Amino acid sequence: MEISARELRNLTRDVDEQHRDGLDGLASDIAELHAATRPYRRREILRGAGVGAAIVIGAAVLPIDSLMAAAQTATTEKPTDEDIAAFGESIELAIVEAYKAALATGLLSAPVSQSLTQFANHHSDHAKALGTAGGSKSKGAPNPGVAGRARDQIANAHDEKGVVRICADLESSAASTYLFALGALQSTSALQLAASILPVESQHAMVLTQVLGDDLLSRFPAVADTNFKNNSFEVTTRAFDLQKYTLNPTTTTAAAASK
Amino acid sequence: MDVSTDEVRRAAREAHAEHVATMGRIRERVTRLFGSGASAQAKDDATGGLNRRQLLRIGGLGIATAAVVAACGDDDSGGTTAESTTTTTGVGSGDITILRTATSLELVAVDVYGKAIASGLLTTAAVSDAAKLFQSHHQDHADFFAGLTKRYGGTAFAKPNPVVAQQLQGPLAQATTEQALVTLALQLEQAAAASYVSYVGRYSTPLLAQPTMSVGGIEARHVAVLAPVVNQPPVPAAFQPATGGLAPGTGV
Repeated sequence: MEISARELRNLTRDVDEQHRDGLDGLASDIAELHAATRPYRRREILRGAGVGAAIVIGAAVLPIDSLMAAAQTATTEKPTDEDIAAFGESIELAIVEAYKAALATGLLSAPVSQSLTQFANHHSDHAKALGTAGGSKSKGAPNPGVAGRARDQIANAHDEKGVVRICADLESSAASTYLFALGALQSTSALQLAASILPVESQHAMVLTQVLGDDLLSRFPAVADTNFKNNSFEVTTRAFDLQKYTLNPTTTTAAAASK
Repeated sequence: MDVSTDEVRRAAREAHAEHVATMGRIRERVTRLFGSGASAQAKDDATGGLNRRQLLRIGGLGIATAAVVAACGDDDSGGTTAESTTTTTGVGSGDITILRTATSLELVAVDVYGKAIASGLLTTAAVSDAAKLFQSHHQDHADFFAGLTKRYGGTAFAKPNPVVAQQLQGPLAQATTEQALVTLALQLEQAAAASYVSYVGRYSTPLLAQPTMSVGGIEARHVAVLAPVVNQPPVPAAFQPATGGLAPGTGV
């Protein structure tokens, strides 16, 4: 499906209004979600991650075990819900920063700029919600590794498609990260928050890959080693790695992250 | 993509007119769905949602979503039909019920896309191709949820949700254009995406959150593809609503 400037405007014209409507109730919704928190036992989480990998038989969530291992070695202890939420906040803020850089390139048409502006607003909202969920673990700053890498990539982009491809990749990785998080989070509130964000990142990726003119099948997550041939499931394979993109700015730099 | 000022103004006028007209229809539907005298809590439970305000915030309720919501609306208990199934995996009988409900909803989608394809009304090649791909996705999802149900000791549900299917009979019969069929499919996808987010909050174990949202994200992607075809925004909100979905236990 080719997309015209008019169609792209149609894609995004109502988003801002609904975005603002949604903001009105965001704080109270987060409070309600936290009130509904139902902590699960750590044993259930670890079992969940392991079984989750087995369930999908090499498809959607295959790498969860290795990702969990990576996540666990990133800190001296297993990541808590707050750790994961804080990491999510940092990723969202890094994407906001990346979109600002993208918009500043002067390479984007008006409809694409409008879309990125609206998507950046979404990411800002996600960051607020995750920052609340992350509590004292939240840093309120862009993930240095992800932000630095995206900034470098955008600086080297030569045209609109180059910039949009970088943004689409960020969205795909964000969606993948939330699917990963859903295999590790404990509380109902945190799980529901991640579940409510993942689909939106996926939709952003779909819009941007449509702009790029990618064929329909390739716009869905690529699944390796699967019994399902239609890219029918979200994947964790593109998740931002907690270890590689640690929130400790003294150990992760853009240069290190790009290696 | 060059856009003239006139074109932007014209699009803005059209968008405003459409918005006003759509809001009128939404108000009517919301009134119809939520004005029958049942308690607010019962209705929220029936929609699998967090609160009433969120339902009003969705703004995209349509025929299929209304059918799904209406399918749940008579169940003041919250829609969960307890199944006498026990497992040794930490997955409870209520979880099995949710998995069966999910399977039934996916099979409705397979059926709806099948009927749309067979109707001959999907004359735009890209739309027809998308319908075929999405039908195959939903079949994969149905197989996936059925497999999970069996894995955790339950009996997989093997047919389209009878309650939702019945509710959709009329709208399907009345959908005599490609646009109408795409609108129906879009609303079904929106309801599916909302269902899965709500299920994450209903499971007794976090075990099933990740598998469920590996499907839920794909339904949201379907929304992003179909919405522009009928001039709706592909990303309707910053957060995927949990309202407007199929309550666990409905029809299974």
